Amino acid sequence: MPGRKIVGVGDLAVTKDRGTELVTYSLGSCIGVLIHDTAACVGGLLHLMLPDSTLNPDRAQRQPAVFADTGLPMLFKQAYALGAKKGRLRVVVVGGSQVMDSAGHFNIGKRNYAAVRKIFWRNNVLIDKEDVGGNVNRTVSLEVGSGRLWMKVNGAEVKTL
Amino acid sequence: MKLVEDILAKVEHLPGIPAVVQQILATVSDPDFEFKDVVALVRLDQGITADVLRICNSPYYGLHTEMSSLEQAVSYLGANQIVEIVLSSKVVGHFKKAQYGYRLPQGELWRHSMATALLSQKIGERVKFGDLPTLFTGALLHDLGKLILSEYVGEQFDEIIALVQDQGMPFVQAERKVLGVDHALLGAAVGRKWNLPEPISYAIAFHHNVERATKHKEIVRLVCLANLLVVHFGIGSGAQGLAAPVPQDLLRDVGLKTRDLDKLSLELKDILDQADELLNMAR
Repeated sequence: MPGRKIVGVGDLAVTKDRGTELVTYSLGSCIGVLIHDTAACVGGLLHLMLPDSTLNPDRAQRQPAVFADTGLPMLFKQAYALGAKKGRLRVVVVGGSQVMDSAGHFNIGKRNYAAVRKIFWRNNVLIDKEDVGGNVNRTVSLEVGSGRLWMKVNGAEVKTL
Repeated sequence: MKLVEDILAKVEHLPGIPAVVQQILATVSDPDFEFKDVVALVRLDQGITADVLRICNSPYYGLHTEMSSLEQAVSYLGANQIVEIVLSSKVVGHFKKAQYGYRLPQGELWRHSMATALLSQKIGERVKFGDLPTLFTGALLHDLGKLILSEYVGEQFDEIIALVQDQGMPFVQAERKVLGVDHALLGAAVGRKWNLPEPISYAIAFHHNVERATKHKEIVRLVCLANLLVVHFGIGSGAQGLAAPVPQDLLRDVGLKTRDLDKLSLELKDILDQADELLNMAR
């Protein structure tokens, strides 16, 4: 039974402990980015809330994982420091939902997703799999030892990613 | 019709809230209430007094000196926060149970309700809303109807979720179509049974249908917005997911801009990080 490490809202975790399962609950408009290097046995999970750190640079300094533009570099750097290689990383993106808002004010999910795509594009990172958008919430988990990923939608339906 | 009658009959059987809480709510809903009257009421209940001390010494309030008496605690915190604590400690029992019909594990509806209440205070302060204690209560109790409706939602779940997924119907509307009543209107019925002040019952009744509120529109809108933001971040949204409608012009009517939602999101993170004691409190 792997040890569970829960990643909170606006937080991240990276580990090479093969007995650890990284989990983050209730991704609504937030985005979960999961990375895994099987050869180096390194796994990471980022639960980002907002696209752009210019909203609050002081906050970004203290809690970089809150924003896409500060959280993603940190996630990848921590994984590289543990021996992961960019070319071997499997990258999965989950979340970015939104409430039913025809006026588009509650579009944080879409902006988060756009920010992630843009940063990946600039840095030549390819997304291997994604489950993004809609009106659902998602819980995701990564077993570091096996690289197995699963996702629960609206507290029930379980899928393997 | 039979199903609606069964559901409404359950309202009568839901346990009430303690008289002391009803008295405190009635006291603070009077704009000229006196602080010492609230303190005197709090003092009547040892459990509440203990909770006031425990919670005001929690990291959420960040006090540097430990409070050991009610007078000290009250003078530091002020009446609004005392009311917050009283409500939190006395209604939590109802909300703490798992609501399987909504796929909310134990404690999750409470966490959602408390996060909504705390966020409503941040929004209320931002737009200078004049009655924060009533706003807190309305936000804390907005999903009261789920306590009763969960069982029925569970039984008719496939039908409800089909309307949400296949027709893009908001969850609350699907509830109404399948069960004949939704959690918001049912919650307001409970509120009336509990003798809650009218603005609170309105906030509960119309938190998904702001435009239908004929009175107390400001508090209704604020509770609606706080709830939507908390749902938006997936907190306690359960089976409903994010299938909640945003009323037209909600932000404009509240007096906020899109950028404010990003700032409020950061406030919500602080609430989640710092308010564990309140979010997880159980009796």
